[in-house]
Amino acid sequence: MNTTSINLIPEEALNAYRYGIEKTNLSYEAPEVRPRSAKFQKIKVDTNAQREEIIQQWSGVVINHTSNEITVRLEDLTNPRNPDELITFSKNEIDEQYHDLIMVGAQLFWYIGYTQSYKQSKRRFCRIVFRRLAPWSASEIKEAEKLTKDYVNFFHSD
Amino acid sequence: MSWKIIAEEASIVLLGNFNPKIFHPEWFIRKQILAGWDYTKDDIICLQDMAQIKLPDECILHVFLNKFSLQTILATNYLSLKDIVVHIFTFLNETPVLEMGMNLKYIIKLSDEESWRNFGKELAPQIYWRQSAKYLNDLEEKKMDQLGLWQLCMNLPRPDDFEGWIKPQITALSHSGDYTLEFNINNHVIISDSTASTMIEILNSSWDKSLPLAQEIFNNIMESQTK
Repeated sequence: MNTTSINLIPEEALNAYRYGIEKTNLSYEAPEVRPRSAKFQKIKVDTNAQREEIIQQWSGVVINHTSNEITVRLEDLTNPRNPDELITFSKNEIDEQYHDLIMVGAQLFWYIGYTQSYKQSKRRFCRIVFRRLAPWSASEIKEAEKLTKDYVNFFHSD
Repeated sequence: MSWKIIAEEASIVLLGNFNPKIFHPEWFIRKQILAGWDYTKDDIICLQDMAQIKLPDECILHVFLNKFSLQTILATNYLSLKDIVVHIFTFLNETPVLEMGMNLKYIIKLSDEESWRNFGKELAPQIYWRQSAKYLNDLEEKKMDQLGLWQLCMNLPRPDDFEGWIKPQITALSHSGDYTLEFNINNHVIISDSTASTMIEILNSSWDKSLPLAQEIFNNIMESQTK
């Protein structure tokens, strides 16, 4: 008796359910999982979906904030030669999901552009997206402490 | 020849060893990777070996045992895509990551059939293909309309010292309307030590450059073909 024949489902067939295609681009041609689960979304082109065309974008850092307004230093990502700017805007312009992120040092992107879709005429939009950055790791904190120490030593040495 | 972009999408794809069952909306909310959202009405799959979640702001996450992908169709989310991936793998920093793809895809529509056909003829001259099989010369002209470029993939060297490639690929798409083409730029990096921390370093330094590079390749090819 062949003791290796206890698997009823061949490994290859089983793996077809469990693994995606070994490529790092996403293709419209081939499904990721075969046979496809009816619930698993097929990667397809949705030509009716809203499309954004960015005209200008900035990255910003919150310098100051009050209960109604925030002040941000902006760096122009579209024309990097432009000097940084300080701008103050109302908190009402910021999506509620970002309100808990408003603090000095918080980073954001500010976009101005056009949005358009098959069923929607061209419209101008302005969007502020706050960055949710990963917390510092223990090694990064250690490195920062070391750098601080080096600076302290440098400025105190005469 | 006139053309317009009708859809676009950016994605970050990782190959490695993943644990799909971790990727539940609640995990993203508790780890503060994303703001809370009502995911109960979404079509979510969270299984041992496969996860599919529609995240807020038109982002879609797919995780298999060997593959992780995060994609979005909104241009204002392209830069944030990196933050989400970095955030995820800062928590899952022991995940082996072997390869990474930073991708930008455009679906374009050409104004008419002639422009669509000429685009392929310019990029892949038909003369060699007409000579390749003698029977082609005996076919009716109408049948010869079927001869044309279906897919083209170029391999470009990387502009940096990372191992990998940049592969722009053009595909004629039959299922997204007449005279459409998919332009897909795959910026592929092999992670030398197969660690998540190296992947994060590379992503942090390359994502912001990868997008304009892909846009430049796309624009220049389109310009060269539409003069």
